[in-house]
Amino acid sequence: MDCEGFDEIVLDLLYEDEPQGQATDEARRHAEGCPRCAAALASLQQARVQIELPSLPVPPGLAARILTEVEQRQQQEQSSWWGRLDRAISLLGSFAMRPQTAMGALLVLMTGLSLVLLRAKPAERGTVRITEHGIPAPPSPVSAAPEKKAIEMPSRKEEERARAPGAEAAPAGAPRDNTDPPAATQAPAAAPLPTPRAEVAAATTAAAEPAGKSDRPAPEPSQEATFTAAMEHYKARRYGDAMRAFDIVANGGGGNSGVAALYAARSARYSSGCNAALPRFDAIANRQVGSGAASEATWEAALCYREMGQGERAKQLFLTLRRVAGYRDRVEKELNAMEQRGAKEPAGAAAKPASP
Amino acid sequence: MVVGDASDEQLMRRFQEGDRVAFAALMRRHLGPLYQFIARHTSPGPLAEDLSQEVFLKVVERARDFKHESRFSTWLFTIARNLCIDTLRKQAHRAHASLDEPDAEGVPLGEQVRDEGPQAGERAAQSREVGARIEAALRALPEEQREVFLLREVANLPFQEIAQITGAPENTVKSRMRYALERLQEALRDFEEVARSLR
Ligand SMILES: [Zn+2]
Repeated sequence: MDCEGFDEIVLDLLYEDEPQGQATDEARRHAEGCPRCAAALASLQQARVQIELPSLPVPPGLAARILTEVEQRQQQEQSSWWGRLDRAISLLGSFAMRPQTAMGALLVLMTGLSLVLLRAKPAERGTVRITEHGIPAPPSPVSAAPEKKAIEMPSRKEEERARAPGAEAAPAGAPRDNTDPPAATQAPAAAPLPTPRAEVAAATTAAAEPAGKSDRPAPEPSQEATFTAAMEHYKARRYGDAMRAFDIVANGGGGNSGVAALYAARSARYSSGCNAALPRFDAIANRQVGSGAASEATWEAALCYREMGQGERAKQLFLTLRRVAGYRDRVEKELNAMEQRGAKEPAGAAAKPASP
Repeated sequence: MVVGDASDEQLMRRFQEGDRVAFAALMRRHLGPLYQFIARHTSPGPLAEDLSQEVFLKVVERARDFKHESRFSTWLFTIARNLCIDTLRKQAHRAHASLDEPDAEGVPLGEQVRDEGPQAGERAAQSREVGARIEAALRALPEEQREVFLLREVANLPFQEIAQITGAPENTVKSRMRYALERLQEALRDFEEVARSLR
């Protein structure tokens, strides 16, 4: 191998993750006898050691935020999926009902009933078909409204007719999800009914999702709005405002309450420090054992304890996270760093609380 | 735990079969490198957070299209890279956000890095300075060298995968990486010389 050939392969020698074969062996042998290439390899090896990018930690809450967002999108998707299924069933239903319609027509002819009555049937059928519980839809147009909205009625006119008078029509193209119903579109007299979609979501949502919202009735619209507002505060680093708003959502007990509690704790950390945040993190970790929010809260509590100089407690928490998927690498890194710091510092220094 | 030991591809298969826990595990496994890649490719802070989220939303959206013909990481970082490029194109000024000047919503990278731990003392300050210098030198690299460097060092991807992601021949990828290493080393050397002369 010549120097040119060596240059082509030197990066493989440097990183050693490619299948090392004959070519790399040759390159190694070449470097042994060629000062130029030996120096080049040594210099690159030195560069790799020197160029250590400062670690850029994932912002707290990002993982939970992503899971929440993914869940919301999936729920929306399921919603539209139900809408499609609903329409498909409607179409199939109309075919399947044909013999009955014919029978009905015959009966009508035989009994001398008017054709007008027969025409009224499809609309009725439409109403009954909607409920996925096998329960006929309530006859009252007011109580039928929320359910119809939730699963995308095939006929918008029908839906509008069913709405309480004065209720605002949904803007065209606006995403309609029962997790986020604007107050104006909700028929005020209607009691919140569990929607078929919520039930499906409940059946398919994994327990690990921190925002385990799908197994509960849709949150109050004001809660959603408060959550969004809280998130805006948080993004803008107005942690005091964010904490208050997240607390409202967390105490409301809706679907977002778990995530809101976590964000409230984070906001407390950034506005008032670890002393204020720790009881919150601990509470989340204990209350929502096994959830994503609990893991995240444990992680943050560990960071706080470490920051406060309570190394042992931090270590304990890190160790409990080591088995949780997605934390192992981070935890190992933190534990190693703590070990190295511990080795450098005089004994007992790690246990001494650091001044805030 | 089963999820923790499963390969990316196994988790992806499970997610494709509807296992959301598998998705959460995949997300948590890759979020760190992905966020670093995006933050250093664009700018850290809310933009990088939003883009990281967008990448995983796309993973969910396109999960059915993933045919296991490439590794999951290749696919993931291809999505991330394309998103970064689109964003940079749309918001060209962000790409030039310097280390000391925060952009409209970002925080200077040096500051974010500083946030990280309870480091104290002169040595920590010095290492922060070196870190900041490396960050600055990284930002000064030509785009194609920087992305290769980040995919290699931050995302820890082999050159073959980087070649697939960037659409460049593997040899080109390797020479970009070499230039990047040499330039960064040079920048560091200059800095050390200046630091030494000031002492
Ligand atoms: Zn040579």
